[in-house]
Amino acid sequence: MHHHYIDRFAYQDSPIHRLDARAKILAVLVYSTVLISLPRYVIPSAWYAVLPFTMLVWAGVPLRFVAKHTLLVSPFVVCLVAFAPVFDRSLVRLHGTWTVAGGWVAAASILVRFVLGMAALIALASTTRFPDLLRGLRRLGVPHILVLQLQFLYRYLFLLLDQAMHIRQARTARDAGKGPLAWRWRGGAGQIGMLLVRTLEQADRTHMAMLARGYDGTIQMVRPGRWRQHDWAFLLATIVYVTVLRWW
Amino acid sequence: MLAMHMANELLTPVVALLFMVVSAGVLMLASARVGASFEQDRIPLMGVLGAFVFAAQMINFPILPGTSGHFGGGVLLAILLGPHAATLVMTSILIVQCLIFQDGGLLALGTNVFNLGIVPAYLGYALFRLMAGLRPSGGRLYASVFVATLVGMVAGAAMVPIEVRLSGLFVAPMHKFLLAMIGLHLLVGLGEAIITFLVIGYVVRVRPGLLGPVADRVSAATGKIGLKGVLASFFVVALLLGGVVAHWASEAPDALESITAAEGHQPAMVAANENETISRATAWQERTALLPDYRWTSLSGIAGTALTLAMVWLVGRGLARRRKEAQGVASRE
Repeated sequence: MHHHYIDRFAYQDSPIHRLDARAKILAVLVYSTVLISLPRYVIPSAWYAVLPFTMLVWAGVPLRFVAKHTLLVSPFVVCLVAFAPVFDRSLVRLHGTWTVAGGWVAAASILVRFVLGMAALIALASTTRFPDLLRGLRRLGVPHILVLQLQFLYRYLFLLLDQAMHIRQARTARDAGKGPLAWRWRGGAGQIGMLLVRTLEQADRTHMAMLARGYDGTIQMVRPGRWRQHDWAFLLATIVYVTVLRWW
Repeated sequence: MLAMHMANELLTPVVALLFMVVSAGVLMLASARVGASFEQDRIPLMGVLGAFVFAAQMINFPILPGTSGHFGGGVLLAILLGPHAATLVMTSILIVQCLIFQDGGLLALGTNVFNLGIVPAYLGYALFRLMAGLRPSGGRLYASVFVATLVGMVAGAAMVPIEVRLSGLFVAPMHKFLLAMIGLHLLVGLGEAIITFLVIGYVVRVRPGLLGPVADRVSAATGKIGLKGVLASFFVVALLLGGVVAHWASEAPDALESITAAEGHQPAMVAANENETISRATAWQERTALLPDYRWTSLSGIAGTALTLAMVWLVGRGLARRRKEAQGVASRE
């Protein structure tokens, strides 16, 4: 797994990509809030799909990628929702005289919201580089120490993922995925322990390298983002759009 | 080992906001505490440990043929770093999971930080401190890690039904949902506890002193559980699980159901309604519901039996292997 496997689309360029991270974060927050503020038995109309999917298409993010990613994180919600029709037997009147059991409507509603919410979140994540996202979060008031954590995490994530994959490959080369259960658990724990040892030593070296470069507890940002008129326009348009959808 | 990330869509804005405020409050406190005990080299250490937890999830642990789980790491972080720093690290992990992998919604971050960060870190750490004392023996260390991990994870998971119930979007009998989450996470927590202990033991053996203050606590321990320890923890979990399953299968009505019954209200479903469409719809609903009420009892009974059997089988298999290994060693010697 390499860097661009996860956020490769964030490094493309489009009008959506060029929006300030803050505008996109706020827009997705507003959109998601309105989405989940709908009453239990209301299925969001197709108009709700306009904002996230316009962003995705305009930014050139393939919808296949969106679908695959949504499926990947859906199991918990799907499992839970599968129980709704069993437990919720109240009756809900849809258009005119059509009446169905509430559980089915609630399940459909949660699933539709989930797909829309995921599309919005993917639209944010795959049009904004992670460092820009962090800068946006910082300027929206997320504590400095937490943003610092996130910067380190992101910086070392791919390095350590690579190491973990090497360790895993070495293990598979030796045991071919077979062997007694207890033995494999002990082995697995040993591999995690090894990774932890490497991690801790890496942290030491990193700290020394940072001190050598003059680290004083703050991280300087090379490219501060700039809030432009486009960003106002985008944010206001989003707010008007969801307000009209929800209350009008 | 298995993170149940809350999705936005199971929450209402009020509940989401409530947990955001609570979590933000705890985070500010934790930030202040970490900042106060500011040791410069802790900052990169925390960040890199966050990446470590991610990477460690690449390593699979076989459970039953065809299924495997992975390490969660929350309680290990708490034991290594203390609850304040561990909460910060878990929060950064959850934010990355949300923003890069879209696992867990943006508005659900407050609840996820609470369930998977704050509760396991603070509760797990407190239990570990209480039980381990200053220089625990191997057995005592294992017991402390076991209880801290199990209780921390189960308590965090038990928050999910409560939050969903507060939101009221998803209608389900509260106690069944709660018991299902607890039962599932008893198993998950068992695996997590064993891995956490083995990892600590391994690091103490190969690099004594690397774990800093924790090393003092665990230096006496060898990091080997021994069959007795594993059997004892399996037994404890099996007992707890048996309790959960029995409760789940019991005919006792929900607290809420009994309240409504006492007040003379009838459940919405039975509300007298002569409308033909509605009765037909109800009949259809009865047919389409895969498992109408009365079958749940037996199903949970079967599930419980299956789980117990699986556990017995696992233990038996472990025993057989061990004996075989022992014989192998003996014959080689």
